[in-house]
Amino acid sequence: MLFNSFDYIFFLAIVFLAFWGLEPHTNPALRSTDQRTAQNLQNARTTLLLIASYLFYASWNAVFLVLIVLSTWVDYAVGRRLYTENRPGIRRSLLAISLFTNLGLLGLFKYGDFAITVSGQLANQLGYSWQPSPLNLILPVGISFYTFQTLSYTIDLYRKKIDPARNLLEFATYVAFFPQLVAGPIVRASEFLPQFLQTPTLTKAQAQRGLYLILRGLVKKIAIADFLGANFVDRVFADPTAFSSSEAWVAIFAYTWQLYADFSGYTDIARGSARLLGFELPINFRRPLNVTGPIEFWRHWHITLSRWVQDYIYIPLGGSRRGRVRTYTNLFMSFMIIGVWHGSGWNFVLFGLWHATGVTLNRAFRDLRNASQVQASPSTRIRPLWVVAHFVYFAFHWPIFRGQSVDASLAYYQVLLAGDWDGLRVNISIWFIITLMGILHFCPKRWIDRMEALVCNLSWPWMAGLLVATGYALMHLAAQQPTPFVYFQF
Amino acid sequence: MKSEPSANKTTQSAREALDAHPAGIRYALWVIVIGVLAALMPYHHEDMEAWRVIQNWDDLPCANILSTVPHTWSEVWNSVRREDFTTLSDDALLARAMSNAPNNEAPTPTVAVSESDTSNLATEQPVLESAAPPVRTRISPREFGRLRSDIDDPHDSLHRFYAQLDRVTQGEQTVARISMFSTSINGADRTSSQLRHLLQQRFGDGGKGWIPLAAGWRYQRHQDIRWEYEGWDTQIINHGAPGESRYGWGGVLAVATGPAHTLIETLARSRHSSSNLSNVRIFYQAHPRGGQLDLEVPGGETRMLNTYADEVVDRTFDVPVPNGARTLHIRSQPERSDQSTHVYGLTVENSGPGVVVDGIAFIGGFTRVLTHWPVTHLAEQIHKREPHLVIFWMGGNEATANSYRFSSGHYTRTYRQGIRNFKHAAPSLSCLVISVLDKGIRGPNGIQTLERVPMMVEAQERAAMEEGCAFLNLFEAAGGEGSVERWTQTTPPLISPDLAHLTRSGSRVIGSIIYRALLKDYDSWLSAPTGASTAQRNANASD
Repeated sequence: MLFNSFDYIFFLAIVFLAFWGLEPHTNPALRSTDQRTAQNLQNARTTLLLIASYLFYASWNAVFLVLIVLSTWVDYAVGRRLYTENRPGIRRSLLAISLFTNLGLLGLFKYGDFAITVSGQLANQLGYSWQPSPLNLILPVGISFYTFQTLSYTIDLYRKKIDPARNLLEFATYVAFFPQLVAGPIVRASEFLPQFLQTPTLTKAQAQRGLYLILRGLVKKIAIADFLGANFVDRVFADPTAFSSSEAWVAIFAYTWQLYADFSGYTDIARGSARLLGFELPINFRRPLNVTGPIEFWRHWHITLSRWVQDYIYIPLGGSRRGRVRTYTNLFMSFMIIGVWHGSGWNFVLFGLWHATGVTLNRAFRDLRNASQVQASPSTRIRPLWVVAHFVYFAFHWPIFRGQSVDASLAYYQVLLAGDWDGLRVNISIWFIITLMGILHFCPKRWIDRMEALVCNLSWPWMAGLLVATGYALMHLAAQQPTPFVYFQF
Repeated sequence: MKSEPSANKTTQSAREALDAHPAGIRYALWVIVIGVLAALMPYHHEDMEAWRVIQNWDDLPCANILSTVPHTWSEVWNSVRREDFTTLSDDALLARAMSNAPNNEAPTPTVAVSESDTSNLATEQPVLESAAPPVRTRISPREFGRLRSDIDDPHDSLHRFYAQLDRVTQGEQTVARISMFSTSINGADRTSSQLRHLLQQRFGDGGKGWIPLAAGWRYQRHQDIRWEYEGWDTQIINHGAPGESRYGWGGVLAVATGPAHTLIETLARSRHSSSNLSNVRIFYQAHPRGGQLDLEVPGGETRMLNTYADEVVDRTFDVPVPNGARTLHIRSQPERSDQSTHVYGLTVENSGPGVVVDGIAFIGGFTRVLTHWPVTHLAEQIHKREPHLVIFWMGGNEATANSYRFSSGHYTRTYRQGIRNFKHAAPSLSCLVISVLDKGIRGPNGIQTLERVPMMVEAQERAAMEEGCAFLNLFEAAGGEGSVERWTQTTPPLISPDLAHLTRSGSRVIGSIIYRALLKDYDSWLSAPTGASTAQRNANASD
């Protein structure tokens, strides 16, 4: 069930009605001051969310629910024991069990075939004739996201930073909460579990914001990402050699906007849906292309992933506390992991290498400027130049990310660098979207805030009218079959 | 630990939220009610059908939410394993391509066209090397299955080709040659290589066919060779005016005015094809400033080919190739600055018995390209190449180009002129016109067939019939109107996102369809080998 489908809109409406139907303020039959009844209602709402989340996941692949249940059960059990256990050796063993289970499943399904292929190649290089068959396992949707979530819970408990979940029901709902289950944002237990302790609320402002986020996400996904993909970008990436260098360049710039609209659109819908159910999910994007370098970029793009890697990998490795060389090494390692997190294959190793190198050099450059008492960040006057430079640097790596193989990526780069500037067959609507995205992204933030405030403060008839009109417009713009989000494959 | 004032503030804001709380639910409820009413409204008005959220009541939202729950262990296994499309048989791909076609006749399985299904090949496939079949053994219908559209050949145009194929079938040391002219839809030789592969699997390996010396277009390929070239300037037939210049059989003239070279390595695509280089013939242009070509085959002596002549003349040169050679290195090193070498391409064939297919594509070319060869030059090329069957699969660019103003009459006349030039040079040449495939455009109601596609199919059929060629309605054979939309939705997709070109899997499907259509028509020819029309042949075939 994709967010950009009628199935999801219908599903969300049903869950919304059922969820708030179990709330005393909206259901007079449930009004009671009895603490126990209130707790039972709370459990009923949580159970409803858990069932809805499992149904949501089962609509994609029911068999892989087993993995979520297994991961949930192991981490819950480990968490309970970690909370009461004080012996360091046993605590370490418990943590190891959680890491082994979660990373083992992730490794098997995500990196199994890559490891098998590389082993076979290595054996052949060493003179052994061994051609192992790939497992051809499907990558369970969302595994990279929920694995990181459950790991954060166990690690935080190991570090004694949080209290354990009150019960398995709440923990299972945290792991499988449908708005963020398949493509994030990666929510920490410390951000989500405390929300069960409060009575859920939905103020008018929250409802307006929630509906606005869903609307914004759908527009981003259908009108921008899918349109750019179907009408230009996918064609160029499908067979780059059929296009000129100028078209290939426009395609990587367009893909930058496509991916941003796709992923941030998904996050918007996730946050909007959660908000309508009284939950708050963290922000994942903050105008990420309006930045001057890789470090700043990763503070604005997929924020929950970079924050996770910072807290659970970079800082445990020593962070920036052990001298410059160690800092650069830690940074490099962390971003290599971010690269490989995105997928298996040499492409993603190169993708990690690209970002690791970029961030490390950026950091070294900044240290150098700091040491020579020069202003670390570029001045306002030359900032636009840096933004443009970073945009080009960022767009240039898409063939690595998007290519099915290293050969396919190289073929794209050959076209990009062939210097064949003849012919630029790009439809006016593509130019329009690219320009519009540029204006919206790089204009002063207060303009956007003002515009959003206008929409968010609409009274319900206007909001309903806007949603219906946009919904019908998107329905006619969308493909017959909704297109999956790019980050579903990770 | 939070400070006390901050904790108080949080509690206060939580209390405020709680007080304001039901307002948000009421707000959202009203929006939902309006949304539901707006969604229901189009069901009260017939003319608002396009605005209906649910078009098909069998497909209610969330109705299939539990459809992925497996019922057997094999379903569990299938739901965790992804399909490897490269090992998917052509039959399976074809079945998917046709799965939602209207009036679908489920394609029956053929006797093995898949590399992966070797058991069938070993037992049932009559491969010539192992045993020559008896004289005019009819082909089992299981080999070609059912098709939505057959070849229509009222003039018995394919007689010469089938007679040659018959000789091949009977084990004669000869080759049946097919030259397939098309546009970018076969620019990477994918469909023709599939046809080559299937025909060679069935009738024997006749070689790799036509190979240009250098790519005339950015993504021109030959699937059965590895190819490196440098230093050639290419002149392509698309750019010329009718009858203006000589482009050779492949429509690409490679010109070297300085050092240039091409390295060709032949590959074996399957166990039915050989990677050996044999019967190499260079097609070149000799002229008053012609330079020298060095032809080097590992293990053999380097041959020098002088391309000088007093006047411009087309020639061929057979390169002696030692047994087991797989690579050919062609170098041009003009001795004087005013010298140049002009090469059209080369052919690689086996002595037979077998079939060879030339995949020749004019990327971005319109059908009028067929008239661009000077008639005498085309005649010379035909006599040198000696094709038994010429397949024309043109029209893709006219179908999709917004700037092209389609007129059925004009298009038919242009196509007829192109075919006539071929027939003029070789009146008995078998010719088969294949129609365009469905092409689409994204519209408010999803992907729709371009309006001019069915008109083009009609015009192409008319051109074929009026010039005495056979005709295959590939548009219909591939599923008819709307197939472009269905083909984007198959797994794997068969049409690329531009809704005009085929994916790798789509090319396999189309290659298989053309192969089956030829095989079926050949079978009906076998029932009445001479002088019969399609109708008569089909009547005999059904006996």
